[in-house]
Amino acid sequence: MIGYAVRRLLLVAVVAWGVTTFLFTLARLSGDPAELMSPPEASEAVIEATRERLGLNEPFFVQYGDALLSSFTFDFGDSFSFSQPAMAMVLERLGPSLWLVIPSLVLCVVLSFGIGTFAALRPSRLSGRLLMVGAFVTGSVPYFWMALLLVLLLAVNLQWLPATGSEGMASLVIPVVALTLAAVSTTTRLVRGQLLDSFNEGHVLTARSKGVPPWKVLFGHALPGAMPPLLAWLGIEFSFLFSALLVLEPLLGYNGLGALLIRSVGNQDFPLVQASVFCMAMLITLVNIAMDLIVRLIDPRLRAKAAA
Amino acid sequence: MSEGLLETAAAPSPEGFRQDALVMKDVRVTLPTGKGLLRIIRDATFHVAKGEIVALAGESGSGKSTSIMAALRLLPPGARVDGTIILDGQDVLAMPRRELRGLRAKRARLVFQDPWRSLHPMKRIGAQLVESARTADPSLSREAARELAERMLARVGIPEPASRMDSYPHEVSGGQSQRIVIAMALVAGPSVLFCDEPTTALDVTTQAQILELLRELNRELGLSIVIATHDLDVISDLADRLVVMYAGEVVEAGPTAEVLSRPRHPYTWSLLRSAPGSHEPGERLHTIEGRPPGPAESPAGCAFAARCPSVHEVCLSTRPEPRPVAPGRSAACLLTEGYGPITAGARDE
Repeated sequence: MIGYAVRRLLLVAVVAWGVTTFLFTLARLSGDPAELMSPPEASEAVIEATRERLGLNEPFFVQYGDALLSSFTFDFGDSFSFSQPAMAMVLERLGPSLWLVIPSLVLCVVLSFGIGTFAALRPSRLSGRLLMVGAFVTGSVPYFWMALLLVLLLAVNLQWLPATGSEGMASLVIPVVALTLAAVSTTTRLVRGQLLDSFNEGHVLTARSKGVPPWKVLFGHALPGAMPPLLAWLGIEFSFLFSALLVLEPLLGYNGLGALLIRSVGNQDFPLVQASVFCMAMLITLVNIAMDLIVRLIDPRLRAKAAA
Repeated sequence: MSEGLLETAAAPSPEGFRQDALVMKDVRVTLPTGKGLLRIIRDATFHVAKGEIVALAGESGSGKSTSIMAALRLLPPGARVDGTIILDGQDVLAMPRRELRGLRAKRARLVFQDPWRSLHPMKRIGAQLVESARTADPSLSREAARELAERMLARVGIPEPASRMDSYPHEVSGGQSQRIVIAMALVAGPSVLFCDEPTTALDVTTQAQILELLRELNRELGLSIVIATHDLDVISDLADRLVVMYAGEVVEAGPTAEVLSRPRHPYTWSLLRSAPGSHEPGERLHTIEGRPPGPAESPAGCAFAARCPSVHEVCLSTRPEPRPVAPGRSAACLLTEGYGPITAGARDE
């Protein structure tokens, strides 16, 4: 198990290298940041000085080496446009972003397990079917559109909540609700499906045939059996929620990592782009590896495979 | 092999219910679907005396497994069960759910075909046995349940039971799993054990060992055993009585030795003729031509008529009822009602 964890963590290094290389290549292909940063009337000498200051005149491999080094030391240098250490800015914005992602994920787990289980217990009854239709409909609405609808309803018409900004708990409500609705739909359907499969497993029938009471069949036998794929899915859901921030945060004027990244891409602010994408990629990879390890902890069959 | 149980009547009398482990009377299982009504079991009647081993024999789809699931009311929701099912003296179909769970927990246990699928893959074997024991007897302490579980594992022939308790199901072989599943039933101290194809998933040597174990448990504990199987060779040495099912109906019932040596229903006869054990090495296996009517079909006459080597014109229009054909034996065949016996020629063919 520990060996497995170490191997998975080595994979993180591979992901880090891949992300760095990809970003580096992409950044070099997208134009000259020195020109972009300088005022339109700036002379060639000024632009050249900027280029020199940013290290853009170094040979290609020196620049690539610097990029790799920064990834492995978590030091991406100063932001071009803000002249502050890029990593510090990213970490400062990570907090507000997690304030959106974590509550959404927790709400998603509570709602989807609750509704999914309820629906799985009555697969052919009207109430169970209506819930699944509801989940399908909410899942079909794009989260950014949902966010705009919520702004229109709760901020513009009812004026209960601020339409934009990231001040105070009230500003969390609209993005969290939009993200939760988007995430809860697929997860609910997955919980229901996994549980229904689990109900048909021989060991669940065995439990029923032993006279185990229904609540214990559900929580002690069927649900644990359904957990491994659901946990793996929650890791993927975490990735989805983070990627959704790239659209949602700029849309709602929320000061998080997503908004920062979008802005730094627009400014061709390499250090900031690198730091924020790197940070997101690492976070998503680590969460997924953690889910993987939890799955292996609860499932002895996979644990045996991991030890081998 | 018959241990003096042969005198049991083929058809149960109402006052006979008390001595019977299981009585199925006119049991009908139907499943309403969008395409119409599926008849899974059509008026099946048979019984299992206390301390008896009865085999339900038939091809897949004959209703043998469904009969077992119906006896424990474990059929999926939507399946409709009519008739009378008396299990260990209690009316299963009339029971409130809570009592039914008590009956399943303490008195009638079930062993499935696939031992790998019967155990929860994520729980230790010990925990599953302890749960089984404490479901049957909630007053049992965890320690007492563990002790009982270890004793039963030793009884069914698991080496080093104490350390096996800490194993997970994927760490033991199929034969051992099936023993563990049987031990899981035994910790409850049941009076009836249902086995749905208990050896089909196992290799031949292990099969014989499991069947021998069931035999021993029957002798030592007086456990009544109902085995569903498609393999006549498997149960010929084990079962006291045989109930042959075809297309959801009981076509023949009687003491195993008698039914096997002198079958009274053409289906039983055909089944015996096609069993690999009745062939010389190298001989081509006999098959029964055609297929049984599906659960959506309702033939007007005998369900076996289309495949029967001794079919009579009347068989196509009249449905045969099970009739006593000898002491302790019954068959549902019009030939036994005077429409001409199965000819010697047909039997030797």
